[in-house]
Amino acid sequence: MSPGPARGPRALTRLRSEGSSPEAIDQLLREQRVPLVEGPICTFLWRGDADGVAVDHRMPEIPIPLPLRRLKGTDLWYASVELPRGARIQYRILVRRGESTESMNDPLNPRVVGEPIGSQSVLEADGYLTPDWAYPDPTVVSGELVDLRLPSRALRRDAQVTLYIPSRMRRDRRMPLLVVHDGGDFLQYSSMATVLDNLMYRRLMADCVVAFTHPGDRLREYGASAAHSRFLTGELVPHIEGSLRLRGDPRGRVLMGASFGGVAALSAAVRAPGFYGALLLESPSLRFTEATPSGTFGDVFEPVVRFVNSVRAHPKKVTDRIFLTYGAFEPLAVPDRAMAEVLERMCDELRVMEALDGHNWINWRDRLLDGLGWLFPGEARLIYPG
Amino acid sequence: MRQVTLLGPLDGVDLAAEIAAFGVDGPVALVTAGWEEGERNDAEVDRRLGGGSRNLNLYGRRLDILESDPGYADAERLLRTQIDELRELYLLRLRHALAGLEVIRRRFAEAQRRPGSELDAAIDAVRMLDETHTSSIAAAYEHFYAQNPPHERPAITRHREEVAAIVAGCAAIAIAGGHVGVLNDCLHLGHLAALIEERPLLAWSSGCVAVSERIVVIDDDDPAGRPDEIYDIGIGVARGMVALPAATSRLHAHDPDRLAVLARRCAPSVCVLLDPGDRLELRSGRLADLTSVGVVAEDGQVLRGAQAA
Repeated sequence: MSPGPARGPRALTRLRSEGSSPEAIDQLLREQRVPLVEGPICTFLWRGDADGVAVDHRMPEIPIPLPLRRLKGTDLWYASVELPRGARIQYRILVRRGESTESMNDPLNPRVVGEPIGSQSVLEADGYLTPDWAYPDPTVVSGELVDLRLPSRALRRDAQVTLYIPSRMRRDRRMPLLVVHDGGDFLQYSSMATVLDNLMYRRLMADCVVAFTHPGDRLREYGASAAHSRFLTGELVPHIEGSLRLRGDPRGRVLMGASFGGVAALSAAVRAPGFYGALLLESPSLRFTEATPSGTFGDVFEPVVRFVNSVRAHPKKVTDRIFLTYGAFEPLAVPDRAMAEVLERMCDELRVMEALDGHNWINWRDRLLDGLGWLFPGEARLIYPG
Repeated sequence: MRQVTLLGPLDGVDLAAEIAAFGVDGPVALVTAGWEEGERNDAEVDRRLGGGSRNLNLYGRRLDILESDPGYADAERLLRTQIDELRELYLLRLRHALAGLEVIRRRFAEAQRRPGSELDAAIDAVRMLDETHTSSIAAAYEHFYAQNPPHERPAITRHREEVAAIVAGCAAIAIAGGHVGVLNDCLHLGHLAALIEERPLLAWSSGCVAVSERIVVIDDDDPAGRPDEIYDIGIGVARGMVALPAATSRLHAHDPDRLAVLARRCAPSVCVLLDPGDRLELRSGRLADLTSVGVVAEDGQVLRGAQAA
């Protein structure tokens, strides 16, 4: 990935050659999708008066923020980058006037995505397609979502869990259990109930019961906390396996989490080796230190760093399979990439997928077929026409 | 002499003409168990068979058996778990064995040398895995049936007798496609192999797979990336062949090297590609006419017509 060539891409070149009049700019913005996507070259645009305009983003090897330049004699600002095919970027526009800088979604781009920390604009490079299984399908019978309150001694609070019960129950099989951290966010921002409905209906993954857990004090509970691991292994999983007809063996138990949720999943597996058959880790916040001093990443990360450092020092097998995915455009790509060799020693099979996306819920949604399809192999291949 | 006709996925095939070609007169016993919950949605296929077919309702009967005999259902679930575990280990070993084989094959290709005994040995290792896995599944079934003799389970006996009575009044049997695993389970539980013995059989799509000796599954679109595998043991009415329906849509690359490995893994059985419009006749359970199907040769080439024959 690199900043675009100095010469503007075609649309801007044409605009310049036509005199860059306000009317011509109006026409360009009316006719073109913004940011402009012309092959691998993507051009951010902003229009208005300001002392400086930039794009706040997480693309590697590109200045953060990426400054926009004013097109001479106009109020149109632009900056081009080159993105690989299929990439997807979330960003915000920073507009500086005097001493004050305002962060906003791109007013020229209607594609906005919701995130727990606020909304962001979306740039979809050439070749990116939202997976068809991410959209609701009216022909699919939805699974049932059931709220559960479980008093937890480990957490010293009532744990809230949303259970997903698939629509298709086979009497001759017992289903596996998937436990998802940050369940509310996965349901809201990654449309995970819709994804599960579609993947199970199409048999791209096996039917399974899914427990969406909702954190209390998230950073403390998910930061490699022993109490949270005890809750999962000693309370939640036994409770669900005892109340539903589930497999109830290690191969029928999978933990999943993104970001800090990935740390929580890994730390629970480390504290109960052999109890979980697989882990699905999406952009796990596996920060570690080697030469850098303690405290490098702040107080919140201290227990995480201690945990990851200890795992790196003595990696032992804790589960059968691990699916690791992270975005190439996120700071965690570096430690996650480095952790692959450690994780490989902690399981029998490791599959790694580096996505052309960032640390966000749409990236984690888009990887669900690869992760769930591998960890819960479906029966689509057994089904032939008529 | 038993007559068997196998077809690819249905695509405008005149099923009534296929039944008529058997030269028998009477209703057709129909199996649509592979359609699972849609088993009884059979009006269209009944019409195409000429009407008057009698659906054996094997899927529904299986559900009834599992419901009315919880002891058998529990034992069968344990069997499934056991077979799933065998399969998981088999796939794990198979992936590594195939990866090793690929490395050797590539090395010979880079050196522009003809593959030698090293490749043969690597393929033998894969064949050994296939054989061991098949034997393990067979042993698991054998143990299961020894522990749970079907003829001692009233629910199974009753359904088998009802199925046998229906088939006795039919001139031929037709087996449709769908979920090959479910279909296979239902055929075994209904003891169809014995009933097919003296009647002409028309099967299509995964019906062809389930009546074979081994159920081999291929699928390039599998999200789990599973290799070509021996999935289960079929009812063995069609022998000497491995049926690969819908091969064109399931094999993207038509990679001759990969097909060569598949052909050599399955040998001496013949890998038969059954795409829409393809047709294969067997006499007394053996291949009789290969001119209307694709056959994978041991060099990975797909032969058709006179070459296939």
